[in-house]
Amino acid sequence: MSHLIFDAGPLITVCRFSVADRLVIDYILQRCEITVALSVRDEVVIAGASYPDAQAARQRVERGQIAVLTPPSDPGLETQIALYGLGAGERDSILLTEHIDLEGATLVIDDHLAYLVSDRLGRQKRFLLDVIVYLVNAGELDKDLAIEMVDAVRTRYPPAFVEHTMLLLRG
Amino acid sequence: MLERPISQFVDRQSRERNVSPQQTVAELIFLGFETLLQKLYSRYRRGEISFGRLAQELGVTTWDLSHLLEERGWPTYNLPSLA
Repeated sequence: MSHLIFDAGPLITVCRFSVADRLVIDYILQRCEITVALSVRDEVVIAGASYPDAQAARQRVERGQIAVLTPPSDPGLETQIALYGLGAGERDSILLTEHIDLEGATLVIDDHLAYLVSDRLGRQKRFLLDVIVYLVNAGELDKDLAIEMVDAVRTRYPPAFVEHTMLLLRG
Repeated sequence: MLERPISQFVDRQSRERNVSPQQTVAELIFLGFETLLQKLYSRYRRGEISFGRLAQELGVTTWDLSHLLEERGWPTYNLPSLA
């Protein structure tokens, strides 16, 4: 089972959109372990009362389906990340890839700048769309279901990214 | 305490539109927020700042920001797209 570290952006996406009356996050949770940084969890808790998607995330955190971890202290890495002025959740999600329990985990991040920063730092990362493609290629997710999932979240990505993903899936 | 040109503007606007100074100030704050949002959002779409940073600058959570952008019909992503 793949281990994924979700930044807030893709977490919102998977908690917001559904396929066949089931949230996308539940399809992912069935196949992957998901961990979020403490700061991402805090945002879920703060916003949890206001929005149904945040409530969905909060419920899964409270049930222990989404693990929450504090990123390890790494002053050198923190200094490098600070140069880019990322938000706390993005910074902590990148730092979390250093956690001893998350060796081999993939950071799921959809923000342009945060993706570039994690790339420059040599982190293993994927866009959420590529996680879906990966699960299909690994034989863990049905192709037709994956196409429905991509279609469900299409408003969260530029059209070219969505159409490229569809081409990869229909291959 | 508002600076003199601003207080004069508020007084004149309130008289001309027959609304309270408080309402005029509230409208100005709304306009100021929208202007700041548009300015920061442009930077976000150009990939100069991240989604989390945009939320922090506006003093909202990423969840708030996601909904705020959608309410305006603005894309929530900043990945490159064709014009």
